Amino acid sequence: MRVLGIETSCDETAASVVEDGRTIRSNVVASQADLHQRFGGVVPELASRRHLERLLPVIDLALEQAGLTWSGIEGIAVTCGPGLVGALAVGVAAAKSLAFTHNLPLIGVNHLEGHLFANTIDSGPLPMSSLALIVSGAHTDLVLVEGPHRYVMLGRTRDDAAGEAFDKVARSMGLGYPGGPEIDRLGRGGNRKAVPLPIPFLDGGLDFSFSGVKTAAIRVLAARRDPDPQFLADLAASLQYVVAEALVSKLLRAARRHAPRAVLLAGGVAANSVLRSRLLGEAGRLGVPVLIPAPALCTDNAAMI
Amino acid sequence: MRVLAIDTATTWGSVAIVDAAGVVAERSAHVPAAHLEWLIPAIKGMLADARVECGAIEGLVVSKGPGGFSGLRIGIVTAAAWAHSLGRPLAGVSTLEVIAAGVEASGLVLAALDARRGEVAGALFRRADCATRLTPDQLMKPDVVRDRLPPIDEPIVLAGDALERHAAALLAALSPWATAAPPAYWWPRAAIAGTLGRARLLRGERDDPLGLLPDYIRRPDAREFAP
Ligand SMILES: [Zn+2]
Repeated sequence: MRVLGIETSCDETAASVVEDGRTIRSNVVASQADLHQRFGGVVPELASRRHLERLLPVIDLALEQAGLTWSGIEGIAVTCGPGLVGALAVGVAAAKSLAFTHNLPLIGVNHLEGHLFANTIDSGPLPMSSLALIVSGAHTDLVLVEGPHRYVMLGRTRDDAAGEAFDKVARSMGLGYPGGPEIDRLGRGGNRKAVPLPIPFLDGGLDFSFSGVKTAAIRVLAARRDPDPQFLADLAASLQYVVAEALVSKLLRAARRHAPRAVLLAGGVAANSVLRSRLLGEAGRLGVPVLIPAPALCTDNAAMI
Repeated sequence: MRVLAIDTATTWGSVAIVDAAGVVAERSAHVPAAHLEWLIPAIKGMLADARVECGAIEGLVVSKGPGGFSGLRIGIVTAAAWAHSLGRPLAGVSTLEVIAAGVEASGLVLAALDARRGEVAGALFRRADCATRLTPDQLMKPDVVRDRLPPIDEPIVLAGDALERHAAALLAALSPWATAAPPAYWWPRAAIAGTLGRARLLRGERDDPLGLLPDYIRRPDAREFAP
């Protein structure tokens, strides 16, 4: 079955054609990062306006790159939440209109389930139960996946999401938005031990907290009168190190408690190279497969939808 | 030419089918913040009632504002996706013109929509056989609309949902000439939009489905960030 996916929940306008749940025939993502960059975050009304301007051309491109016309599409899937209400409405209204006019089945998909199931594109059906860490600019959720639509929330952030901490520190460093990829790039040339930051372990529970480490990083930065490039690289490396350390240690703790058959990473921050290698390094100790989508399928996209 | 018209610019949603015989069907409902859920089922039900197949729609007409931003986007993307993917012509019509054209009176009409933050989005028209636009759409404080319009020294009818909140201020500002149209004329109807848009399509005027955007009038408030 060839499905057209549509995603407009935040600041990426995306459309994709996926065949039989595994073969990506096209995956078009029009980022709005340039639009929101000077505000250091997503402005909802601007995002909705841009989605309206971009969506139909993005769908055209997804069909074209898949080498298909409408007659080759057998169903439509669209992100129906969570996300920015006005932004979601553009994608859902288009999907409803297209499904009606082409007499196609339409399914609404939860954005976070989309991130989770991005893992099935490369790896096939998820082993049940799986332990998943969904980590993005809006979420840091530790979830036990017991079956399709059957989730147990084990832990979540009590304040900032991990990606949000990256974005805000990046902003203070004068880097672009979104901050995660910038921090990743910069941190490659840095020493993670050069700028000590507290590792936010919280207590013995499975919740996270990143606002403390974010504030600490911003404070260290502010105290430095003339931050040279090496200092910035060290800070980026150190921030990534402590965030990855907190995420992975809680993931391991949850794995010990719940003995899942696989461990998954999902969401935009799953594209972070430090987090990926840190988690893959634990794969032996976990004794179960560790699944991480390809970086292009971690950030918001429509193939996962 | 048989057209489907959509108006989701206000708290009402309205859809209609208009062809050479006139208005064939129309459905309207008060759907504040619920246009998305309402729209496609309303179109589906109306087409079924009128025994018109979706493929028999030969053109699309959509009310393009001013109005509620999200409602406008829902109406436009619905009409544009339909027009673009089935290769049908599309016409966007001014919501204020739809309101003015709906008023059954001759003479001056001020069509005004509530633009929030104490302002109205309005335009002046002269009604005879049709509504002729005398001013562009403007964002105005209701108590000083007179300063923003050409001199008014003849009777003028006010219509549009701005009357819900600002009737007293608007009537006072345009005293002694102004009267308010009855509430039935305060919300745009797709039957009127369809009639106006169909005439435009028949004249060969059409909008690009990939380029048709709402007449927002107001810039987005960039201070308003995502949570
Ligand atoms: Zn996401």
